[in-house]
Amino acid sequence: MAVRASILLLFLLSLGCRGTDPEPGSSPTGEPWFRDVTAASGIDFRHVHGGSGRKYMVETMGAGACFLDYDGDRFWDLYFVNSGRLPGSDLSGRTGDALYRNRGDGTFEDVTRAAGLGSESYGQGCSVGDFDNDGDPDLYVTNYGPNQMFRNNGDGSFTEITAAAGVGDSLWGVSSTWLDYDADGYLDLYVANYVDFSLERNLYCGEHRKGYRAYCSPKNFRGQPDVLYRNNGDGTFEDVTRAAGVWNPGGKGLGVVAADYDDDGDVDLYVANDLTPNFLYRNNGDGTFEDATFSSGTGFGEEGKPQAGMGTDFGDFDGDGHPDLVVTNLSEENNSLYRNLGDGTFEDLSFSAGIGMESVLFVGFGADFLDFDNDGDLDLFIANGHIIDNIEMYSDNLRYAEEDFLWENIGGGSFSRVPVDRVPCFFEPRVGRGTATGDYDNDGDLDIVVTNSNQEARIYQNLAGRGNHWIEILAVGTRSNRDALGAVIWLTAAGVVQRKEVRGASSYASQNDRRVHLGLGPASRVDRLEIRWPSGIREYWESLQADRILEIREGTGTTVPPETNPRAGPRPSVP
Amino acid sequence: MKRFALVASHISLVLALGCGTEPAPAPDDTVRFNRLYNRGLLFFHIEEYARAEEALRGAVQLRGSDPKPFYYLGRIYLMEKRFGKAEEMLREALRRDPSFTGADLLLAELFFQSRRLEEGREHIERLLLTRPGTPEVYYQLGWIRERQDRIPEALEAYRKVLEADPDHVEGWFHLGLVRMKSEAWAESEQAFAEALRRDPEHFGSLFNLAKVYGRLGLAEERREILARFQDLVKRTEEQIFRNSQVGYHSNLGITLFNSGKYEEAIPEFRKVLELNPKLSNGYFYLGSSHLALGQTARAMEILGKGADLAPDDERILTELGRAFALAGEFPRAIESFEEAIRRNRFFADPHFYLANILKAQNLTDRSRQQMAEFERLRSLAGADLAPEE
Repeated sequence: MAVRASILLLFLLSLGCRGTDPEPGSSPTGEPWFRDVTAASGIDFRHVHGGSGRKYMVETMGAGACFLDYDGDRFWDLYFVNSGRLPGSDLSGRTGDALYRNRGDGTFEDVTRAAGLGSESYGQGCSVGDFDNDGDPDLYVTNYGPNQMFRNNGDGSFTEITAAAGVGDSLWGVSSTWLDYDADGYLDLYVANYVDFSLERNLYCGEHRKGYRAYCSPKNFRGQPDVLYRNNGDGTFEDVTRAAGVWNPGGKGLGVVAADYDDDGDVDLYVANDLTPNFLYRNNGDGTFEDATFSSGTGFGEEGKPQAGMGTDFGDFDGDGHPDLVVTNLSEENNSLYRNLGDGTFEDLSFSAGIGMESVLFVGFGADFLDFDNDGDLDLFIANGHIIDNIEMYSDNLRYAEEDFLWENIGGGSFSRVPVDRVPCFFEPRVGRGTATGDYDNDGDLDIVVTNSNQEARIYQNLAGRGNHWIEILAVGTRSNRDALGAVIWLTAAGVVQRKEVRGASSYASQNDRRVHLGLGPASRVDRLEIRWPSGIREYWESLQADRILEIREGTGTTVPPETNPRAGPRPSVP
Repeated sequence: MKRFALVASHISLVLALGCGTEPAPAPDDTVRFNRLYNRGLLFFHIEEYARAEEALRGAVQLRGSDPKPFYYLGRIYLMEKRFGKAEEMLREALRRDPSFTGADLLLAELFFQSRRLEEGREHIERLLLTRPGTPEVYYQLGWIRERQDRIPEALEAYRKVLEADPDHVEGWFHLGLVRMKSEAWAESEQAFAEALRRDPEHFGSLFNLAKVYGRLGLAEERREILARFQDLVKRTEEQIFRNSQVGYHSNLGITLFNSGKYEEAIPEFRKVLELNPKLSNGYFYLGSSHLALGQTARAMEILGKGADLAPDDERILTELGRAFALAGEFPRAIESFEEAIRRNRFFADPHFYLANILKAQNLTDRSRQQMAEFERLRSLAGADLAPEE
């Protein structure tokens, strides 16, 4: 029976990966909703962790990937972070980070060398932000070891400016995100640091039996404080962690996301910590943050205990105008879905929304809210992969390589897992880590990139979104930071209001396509689009044609009459 | 390797159970059984599961008819997520005593943990027929219904838990949770308050009661409960950190010890004992490190302290025996090895050392006997259990 089932599964998988495209504009019935186009795309990136049996904890982390349009051709390119060599490694071939240029025809070319990139540091994550407001995206890479920053020269190449910028934090950085926390028009940088593991003092963990040595738990190490760098606007940064009230040495940070969860006009921060309470930092609007972990209820699982947070994302999945939160956790725990109640508190809907039970046997890492089917509500993608490579020796039903989850929003605050016949490629077990969503083929739906630990990264083309209308907004700040990170968009189409934000990095060590993607379902026009820019300016546009990528510059719309306190009015002025 | 281990465990089980009717245990075996079983429980409760497993397997070998060691082995395997082995042990326990409620409940727990929810539910419903009124059975049913978002059924089950056992803290807590899900705030508040009356440091109840007060608009009460919760989290984190430091220094010390870096290992074990002076493992490794460096007198002193603290610890007794032997105190060494064997006759090492001392004293027959026992025990353990370093 088991053999037959395996054969059937293999058959389905093989069908799925070579599936034919549904007709554009047709209802996506019968065919798979995503297909693995890695080979055809020319992306041949393979993450290497450098393990040689010594079980250094850093080997478990994998690394992330970022979407960016580094050459300004409006086709989003991809940057992959690699880890690399460790004592005892016997690696041949390429180990560094890689930049792939999107040719615009569905294929990519490796331009790492030409771009002057390819760091050989032991990389973990990346984030993208135009810190100097010169119109091209710059790169920040977190490492086990000093982090690195690369300025985009605007000619297809980058220059490392870590030392000059003063952002080479040497703690174990995993995720980072760009945000303009003080709304001065320059992007600042938050770095989530993990634990004080040292290669020189590599603990023995696991049973003292042959073959049973295992990776150590974060419990074996002290946490490291995260770092907030304020952009001075002159190419340098200042460490303002303590002054801003986000210095917290107990955290073991893995994932970070920034969003205005309380809709007061400034950007807040959420950090997923591994086995210590997650942090929710509420921006006070005066350059400082208040720790809202306890008052919001987002620091803990339902039973009031910290979980092993990995990746995280904000997204208004229930369409009530308040960004909700997802956090991925370890096996034996569950992925957490926190619904934002709009009063500064959240409720844990993990089980009632349907994503809790399914996740109990999986280790979740990357997490992204995305409207993959363009129906106007947010679905959820989660990449899974265990940490312990010999977990099968310790457990009967945990696996190192795991399936990924695509959860479809079915309304009423619930999700349903998309089955194997629709997304066979997501059922192929891999050791998933980072995830990034983006419309790499500019066809109006969100594709997914997944990085896998010590394995090839995969790129999955979306075929499901073609039956519905959509719009993508490339917001460009003029008074605000040029990337418009932190801008809030309210879109009204066919009587439905959607709220989205232009955001920096999220998920696990990764960053999505910066363009804001909105599925419109059957609506072929946008009635109204309102943007609240980080500068406080609010403006709107009306009657926009759907099914296009729209570049919108700050200051080109109709201004919403100023309010007494621009931070006090979160709602769109016209519903 | 895994299959080998499984086969080995089957063999040891068959050996333990024997063929046909089990002869009545000799009084001597009863004493040994009790000793091993109690050691197993002791190690189980201090979370030294590998040693607990070893002792309980010894107990199973001595008396295969007793369901309790199987039950505890099942608990250990369940905690280690070795669901197959856990299920096997629990079924063995139930085969020996079909009315063993604890084993039956643990089997239900196993179904839940391994996400065999429907099997778990069926199992629980069978239990409800045979053991009506058992609060844990209703609790398990409530838990699974809650996870399946079948709130009315969960509510009913938790109410039955509390009818049968009004002091069931988890029952009150989960009743509070399911009432929250129905937005029955007042009932939820009452349930969490009941849980906290019985356990004032119940994490989940404090955490969720604060939320309920928020929903009820009771700002002052919310602040007070949040402060209690925050204080509890802080204290627990400090304790966890302290324990993790014991684990950190202990693991580092053992790593250094196993690499032969005894001088570097010593400060780590000292730190372990500073953080937890009652940890016998710390004395064992600290003493062993001094012994490996030829600092016999120091080793004797430390291992002696360890033996006073944990007189049942066969490893400390064995190391102490080695220290006596290296100091030329052979009678005390023999006494120590024999005591180690009395504590755990399935522990191979003291037989080996004893054989060598007896050989040096020309007690050839006794020496051969001990060496043969050493070899027998080693082969029973199997290559799978051989230490890596």
